[in-house]
Amino acid sequence: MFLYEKKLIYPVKIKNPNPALAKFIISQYGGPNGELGASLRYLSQRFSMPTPETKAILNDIGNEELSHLEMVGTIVYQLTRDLDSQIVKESGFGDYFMNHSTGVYPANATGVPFDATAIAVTGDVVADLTEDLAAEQKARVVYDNILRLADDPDVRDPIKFLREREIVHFQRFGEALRLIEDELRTKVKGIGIKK
Amino acid sequence: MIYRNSECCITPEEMQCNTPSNECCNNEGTTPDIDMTGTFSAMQFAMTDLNLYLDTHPNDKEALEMFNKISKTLQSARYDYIRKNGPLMAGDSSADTPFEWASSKYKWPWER
Repeated sequence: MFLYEKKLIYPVKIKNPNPALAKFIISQYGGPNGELGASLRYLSQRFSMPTPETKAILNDIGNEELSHLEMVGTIVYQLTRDLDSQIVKESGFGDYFMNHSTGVYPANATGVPFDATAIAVTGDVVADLTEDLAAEQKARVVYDNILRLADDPDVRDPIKFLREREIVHFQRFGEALRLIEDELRTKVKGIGIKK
Repeated sequence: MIYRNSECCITPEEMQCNTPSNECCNNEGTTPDIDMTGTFSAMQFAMTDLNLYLDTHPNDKEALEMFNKISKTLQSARYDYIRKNGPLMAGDSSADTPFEWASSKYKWPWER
């Protein structure tokens, strides 16, 4: 069961609209390395996890990703407030605007809608956790790229928070994978040295 | 004190800073510079981060102590937050109409 608290996990307060930047950042809402994919990936993978640590970490990181999704949606929403037609035309935001106006739609930066093929659920703990490690690094790369293109400190600050969380999650998934490998060594003949 | 995550990364340093430009990894570090000292948000974040750490280190006594310490004081910080910012959950609404949760008096998080 999920409960909603009427606050963001980290504050987003953007004063100046910037639809060109919104079009880049929407990729972390509905793109292949974005927060929607992350939350769906972990919350789906958790069901087949075999140990207490792996169930817990996938459940809890998946949960945190939903709060990150809300943050990214908020950034896009605030960057597209108070637009006039001139800035929509000149910023490159027009392609997105045509179908979605200033609604927040899960798509990547080129407008391709979210697709669950961006995530994997194999039912195999080693395969899933290895995918999760890569997923965190890929998300970190997108945040790095956003930071390369964004000058506004109001945008950079929450993006830096999100980037840091990718690194922390990578760390935790690595630990979960090592715990699983240790367990497999003690249980499965031929996999490694018995403790 | 600014809450900082000391458990940032054990991977090689370049894992965090492997970009050709140092634009995103300069001396600003990876920690955002907003001071969330003593606020409900800071405590919640500390709980979130410790929760993940404890998931993979369930026998770390020191971490669990810290987690429990924050957990104990979280409730009163929550009340302070609600008094100032309105209901966090629908059930936190006052007994009077109009329904406080959905009233325009308290903005939604993306509108703030």
